[in-house]
Amino acid sequence: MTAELKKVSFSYEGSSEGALYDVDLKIRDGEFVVLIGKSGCGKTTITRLINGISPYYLKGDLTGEVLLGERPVGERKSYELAGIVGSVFQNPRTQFFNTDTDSELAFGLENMGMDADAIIRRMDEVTSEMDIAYLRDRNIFQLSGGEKQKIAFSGIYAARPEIYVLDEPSSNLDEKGIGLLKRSLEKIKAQGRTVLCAEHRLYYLADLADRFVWLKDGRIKGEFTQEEMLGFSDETLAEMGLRSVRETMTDPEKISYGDDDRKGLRLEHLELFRGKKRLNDEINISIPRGCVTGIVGENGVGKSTLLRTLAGLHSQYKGEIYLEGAKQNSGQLLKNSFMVMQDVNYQLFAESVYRECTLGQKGISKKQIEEVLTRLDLYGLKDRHPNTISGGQKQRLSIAVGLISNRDVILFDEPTSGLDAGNMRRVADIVMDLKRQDKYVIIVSHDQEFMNLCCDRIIAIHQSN
Amino acid sequence: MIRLDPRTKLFLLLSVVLYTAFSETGIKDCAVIGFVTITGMLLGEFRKSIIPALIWFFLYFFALFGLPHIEGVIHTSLLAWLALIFKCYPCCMLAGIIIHSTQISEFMAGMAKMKIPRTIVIPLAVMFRYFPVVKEDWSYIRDAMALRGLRPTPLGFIKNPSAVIDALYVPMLVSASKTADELSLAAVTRGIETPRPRTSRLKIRFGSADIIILISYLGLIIFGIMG
Amino acid sequence: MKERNEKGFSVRDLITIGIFGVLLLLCAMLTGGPFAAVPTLTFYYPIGAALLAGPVFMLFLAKVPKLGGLMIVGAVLCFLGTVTGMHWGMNIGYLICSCIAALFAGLKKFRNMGWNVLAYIIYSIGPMGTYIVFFFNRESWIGFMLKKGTEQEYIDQMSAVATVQTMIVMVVGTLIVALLSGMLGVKLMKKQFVKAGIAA
Repeated sequence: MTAELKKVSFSYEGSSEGALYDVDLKIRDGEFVVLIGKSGCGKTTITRLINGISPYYLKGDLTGEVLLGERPVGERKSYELAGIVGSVFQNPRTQFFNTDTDSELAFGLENMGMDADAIIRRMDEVTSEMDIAYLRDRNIFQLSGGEKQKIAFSGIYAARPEIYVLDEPSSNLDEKGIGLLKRSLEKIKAQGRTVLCAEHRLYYLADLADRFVWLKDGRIKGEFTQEEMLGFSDETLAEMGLRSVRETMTDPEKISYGDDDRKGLRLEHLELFRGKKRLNDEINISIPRGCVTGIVGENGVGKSTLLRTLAGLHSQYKGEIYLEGAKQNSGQLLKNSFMVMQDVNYQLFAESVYRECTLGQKGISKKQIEEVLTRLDLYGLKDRHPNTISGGQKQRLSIAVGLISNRDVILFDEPTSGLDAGNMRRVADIVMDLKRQDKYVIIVSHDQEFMNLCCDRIIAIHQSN
Repeated sequence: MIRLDPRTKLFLLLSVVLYTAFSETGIKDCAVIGFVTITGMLLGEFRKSIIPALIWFFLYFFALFGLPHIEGVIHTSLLAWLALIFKCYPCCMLAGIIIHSTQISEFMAGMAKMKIPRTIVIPLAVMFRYFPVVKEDWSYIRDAMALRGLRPTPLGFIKNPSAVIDALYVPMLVSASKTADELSLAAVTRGIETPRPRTSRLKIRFGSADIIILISYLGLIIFGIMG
Repeated sequence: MKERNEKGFSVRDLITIGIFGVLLLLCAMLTGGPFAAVPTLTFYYPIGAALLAGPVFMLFLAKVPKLGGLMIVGAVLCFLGTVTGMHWGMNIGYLICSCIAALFAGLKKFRNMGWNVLAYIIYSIGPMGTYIVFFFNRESWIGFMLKKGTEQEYIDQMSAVATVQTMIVMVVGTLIVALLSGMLGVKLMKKQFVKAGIAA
């Protein structure tokens, strides 16, 4: 199955973001094409034109032709396209229609009108081909992000589409999840399927892609083969606004547990519990001011729980936490720290960016707020509703709130999920800024590239036996 | 243990609803509870049958022999409260058994077979799917509020009403709106708009157990309403 | 790919109905539940149930401004209520009130805030169904529990169990709370939802 954009220009109704200008793109049968570029460059838009979401659902003005296998996309109905194009989206949480894995695997086939026996047979085939026997007959809500994405992928795979269209599928995944995703992609590539993937995280696609198409402001700026892409240095890629194509390993120099520093943030014999379940081996860490500490560990080991505990949100633990010599309970931790959550949308609820900064804060002057907003490049947005700004901007707004509340301990939970290279570097800059302000900065992240940029130390948490 | 077609289960529930709507509360209800208990046991739902049955008989015993000895306002309140409980009990008990013994997918397949239009089926399916999400969202919102010094309690509300209102409603509804958008895109790209009737991976078929139970319930209901 | 026409429901409409149906239901259960659980307050369940759902309702009407939208919500709530064993009075109540509410709000094409609030008030009457049925049908519900005594004592017990005052408090209380909640909904629409870009 081939796909083609002929002199395509497109802009969404009511917005100039993500528009395309005069794009010519030809995708050969069986080719694995990766679309790269900054957020808003139009790579997602191209995926939507191919699977028909635009202009029919996310409306806009389209000029030029979008062809799927020589026929215009518009000639086919959505359910006809569903049999030809398999679409995988960013967010595992909002992709599945059912509550159990088996139903989700069968969903597309049931839409296609296959009879029960044929569906069961196809499900068994897919189970062995995708290696998901351990995920059968389970509650989707109990799966990890990577497992959810795997089920979503398998459900789409079950319809045996000829072309796959993926929109930043690794956004919300950790290394393990990315590993599962990569295996799925290897499988369909081996089957000779055509793949079009818009992505920020490039390293896991480096050896799968046949061609990289670089987009800037809605136009194709360059096309590179796999070799050419791997030939770029990390600096060149950074200048292009792209992430590394090589997997970044944790800098071994940085791994440390801290020396016995009486001052600072100290965790002694800390064991985290969820109900009766002990999550991790004893943690003994000492963190001085102005030292950016990264925390890594397996899924489920309690990294987020640790962060929530330090934020004062989780009180089921044994052991002690000291801040500058004073023992802390959850209430005190709550006053002394601020956490930037993984999904900042839950943290933003005022009607304007400016109001978000004043909400619940006492005795903060207008000048202080304007200063912080300017420093974080948000001042121009101060009257906008927080929900209308970009992901990177939302994140900075949440950080602004934390800065204004003047707390000493700033915690980050997966701050670079879904951010492009430019925004990722911005967050790293902000973290360094916090370091210069002598704050305690603790970051939970699986983004090695990011951690190496801004962390002074990295601590690994181990699962309890 | 027997298996019942989900359509049969629906019919059982409807018949008990009809019964409670058209008959007087009284000793006959005990027979219905007994029937429901047996049904539950046949379906293998022992906890969901025995315990509610015991609670029913305890309450019934209390209503007949304990309640008359109580005086005043308490007596009146208990009368009203128990009246509502007794009226809803058979249906609730049976519903509990049915819900616990039926998978959502079975239920949806049954609806598809009954040719219920997609304007009802899709919203219903989405409701089942969204319930757990609300729980998750709520825990994040609670965290987010705590980080800003807000509490979702009456006291917290009084301290800063507009902030608490915003913090509760906005993230929840923004999340709901976003999920609706993203979920519909995912569903459309998987062919949900097909004009053909959807099939199911599950085979829904009536069996002898269904027929026997259906007839028994029919008999029970007729007796209950008339007798 | 051809879009569905304006008259029918798009997939997004149906999914929105499902999601907002859950939110409406949970709002009712959260603040109504405590009333239903306490014997002396059980009649005031509808008052509690009307407290939170106003903003959710208003946003829903903005997102699915179609007659059938609210009607389907009523149908689905009725269906769900039946399958979970709730009393038919409330289930049918939701169904009927949702349909009437839809008609009222639809008169102004769901764009008039005042009429939308009226629709919410009508919608909130639904849960009263159970208690209204009880009021008019007391004898059959409690007959077997009444103390054996004189004719007068019998009449006294019957009237005490669901007084007219209680019913009036229930109705008036619900209407007032629904009005306030609806008004909060209008305020939030203007202040937040429209600006946030989610009101379409």
